[in-house]
Amino acid sequence: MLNFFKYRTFALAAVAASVMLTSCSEDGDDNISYNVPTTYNFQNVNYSGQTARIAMLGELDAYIKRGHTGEVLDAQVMRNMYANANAPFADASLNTSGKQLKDKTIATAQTTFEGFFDAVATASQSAGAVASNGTAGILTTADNKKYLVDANGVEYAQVIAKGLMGAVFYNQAVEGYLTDLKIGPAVDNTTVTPGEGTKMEHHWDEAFGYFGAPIDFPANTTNLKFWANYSNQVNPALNSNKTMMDAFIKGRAAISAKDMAGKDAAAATLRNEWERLVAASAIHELNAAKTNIADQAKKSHYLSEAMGFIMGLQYKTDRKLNNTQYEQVMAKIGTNLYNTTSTDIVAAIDILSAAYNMDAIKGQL
Amino acid sequence: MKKVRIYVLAMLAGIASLTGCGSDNGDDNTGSDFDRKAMLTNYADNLIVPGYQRFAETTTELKTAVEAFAASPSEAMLATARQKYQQAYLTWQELSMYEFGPADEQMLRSNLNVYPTNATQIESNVSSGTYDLQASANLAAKGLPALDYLLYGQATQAEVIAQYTTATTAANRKKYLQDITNLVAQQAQSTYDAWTQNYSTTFKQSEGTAVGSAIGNLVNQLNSDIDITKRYKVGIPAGKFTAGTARPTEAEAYYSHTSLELLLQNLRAEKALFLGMSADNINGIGLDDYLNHVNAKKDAMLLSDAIEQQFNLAIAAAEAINAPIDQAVTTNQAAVNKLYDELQKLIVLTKTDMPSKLGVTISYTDNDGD
Repeated sequence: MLNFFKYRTFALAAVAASVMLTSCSEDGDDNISYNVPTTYNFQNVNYSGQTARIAMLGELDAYIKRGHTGEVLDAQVMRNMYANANAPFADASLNTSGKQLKDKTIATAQTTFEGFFDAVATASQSAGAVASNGTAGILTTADNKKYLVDANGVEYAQVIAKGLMGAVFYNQAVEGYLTDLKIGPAVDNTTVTPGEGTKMEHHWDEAFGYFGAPIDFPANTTNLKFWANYSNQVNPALNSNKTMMDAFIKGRAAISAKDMAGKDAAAATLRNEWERLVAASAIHELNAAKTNIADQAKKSHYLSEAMGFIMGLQYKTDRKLNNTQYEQVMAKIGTNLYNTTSTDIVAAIDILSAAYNMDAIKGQL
Repeated sequence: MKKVRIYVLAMLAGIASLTGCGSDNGDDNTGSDFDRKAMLTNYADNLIVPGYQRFAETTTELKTAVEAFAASPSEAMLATARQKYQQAYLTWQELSMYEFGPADEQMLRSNLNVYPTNATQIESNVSSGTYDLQASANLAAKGLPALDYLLYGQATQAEVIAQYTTATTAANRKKYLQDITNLVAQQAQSTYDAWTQNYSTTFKQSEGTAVGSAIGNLVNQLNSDIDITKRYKVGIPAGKFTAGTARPTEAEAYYSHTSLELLLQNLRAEKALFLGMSADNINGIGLDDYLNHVNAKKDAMLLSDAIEQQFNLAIAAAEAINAPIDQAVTTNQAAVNKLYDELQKLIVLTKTDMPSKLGVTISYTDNDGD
């Protein structure tokens, strides 16, 4: 099913058509009309590299969570999965994909994540013992879910997964694929590589790949990966599902129709909305931590998720949360999650919601 | 609303604009009647071959100076070695855009100028005394950046000299320094020899503008070089790929803090290539003339003028930095950002507008791709 997408000026353009024939415009931006499909259904789409990295983070996350059952974790296993070294994945196609998470992690954070691998491996030496303030081990929720935390109550499984969502998927999209670097005027949009489209089309598809949504999202909400999953969780208040998906589809159609203004507008929407999605996800987890303040296991779990998301907010150049505010939010959450109070959590939420203009929706996230 | 205004204007200007489209006709004319051979002859005889000759000479002088330093490490000998190293590095900046044919076979960019250099790997090679400099693991432990570390890696000259005199690994370090230098000189000589023996003829006789043709190679590798200039010399240290966090140690020639001179030499050489201008400032037939021949326009001006003007803006922006890149990225970010922006504008002109006017396909791939 196709919608016919029109510019308001289309009729005017038709009236002026005979005169317009003499215009010198080479790219014809002024009177383009083209079909925008309702799903991400285009010719020559390939984002297998993004799908592979999403699967890699899935396997890495699953491995780290084995620590929740008392298994002792090996930091080298995690490093191998991170860099795709020594055939670390159960899905053998990932091992030979030539892709990895590490070399697509923002360069300033690579050693940080490797440090987290060491930290969670060290915490797992507790081998199933009960955790308490000052002692690494397992925290158990009132409904009997178990989380491996370090001596400060930090659940690294969450910090790593949410942090890498920011440091790889989000950063690659908003700092790479959705910028002039990858879809700007110096990028080819003429030569079609079969199966991949033009370079500009391909880069756009790769940004979409990192969103982790099926092509008919949000009508279809099954099998959502990472960001698409969180978009769907905060969607009732943020309406991010439609904003993101419409912009991805419009932008791709615009590129194929050589409508560079339409592409730039869609890219700007995506960069802005994706950052809001990261912030909303962080607030979402902080709200959950506040609700579960009396259950240290849940509190640690949700605060750790929030920490990972907030890390991600640093990885965009024109970010709304400046460095000082970032330090303030992190300081409110604190380094010892046993000591974080509900007042601290509210303060952290308020800093984020002020920076992102989410005061009206912060309670619904 | 803006669009509506455009249409009204278009209607008013209707008849007048009928005559305004002449430049577009150039799209179908890639200048097959242009004397490409004369242009290629200018490039080979007046820019490339003399360039590689200078590079062979400066690296040979470097080799001699390093040998003398290794024979008797002193402040005077070190100063000479450093001076020769800088001349060689500056000469390399004039040639990095010719990575096709012999230079491609020698993989000069990868063998001579991978930075930041890997000091850990260098130290490991020095202390073990056994290494294979052809191994890919050593790409970041050799070439000019490794020399930068080996000649400037300590805070004072005396400390550098101590590494070659009193340190327990002094003998190994001298050997490593010489091995690396010899390899640079050898590759420079091999490239020069290949050009003078037969590649120059091949290059001049290459026809057309297809992928792999001389013109295709020139345009592609000029753009690849500008991409490298933008990304590695400026963008990465300036934090363009780390959400604004500057990374000074990623700068070229970090230990000698000569990144700005190298960058300027490189930019001027890229411009000289575009103009077909020799090191003696003789402006021969170049890509700019080719663009003029096909009457390539950018808006109201000649595309060749637009590109030259943008080169000048980039060079002026680089000159305005007035400090090594590794320092400027923290002390004068605005100036570095300005240069980055000018390079962005430049690459649009050279990588999109120029190839389309000349019928050249950009076939090199950015190495940051997926």
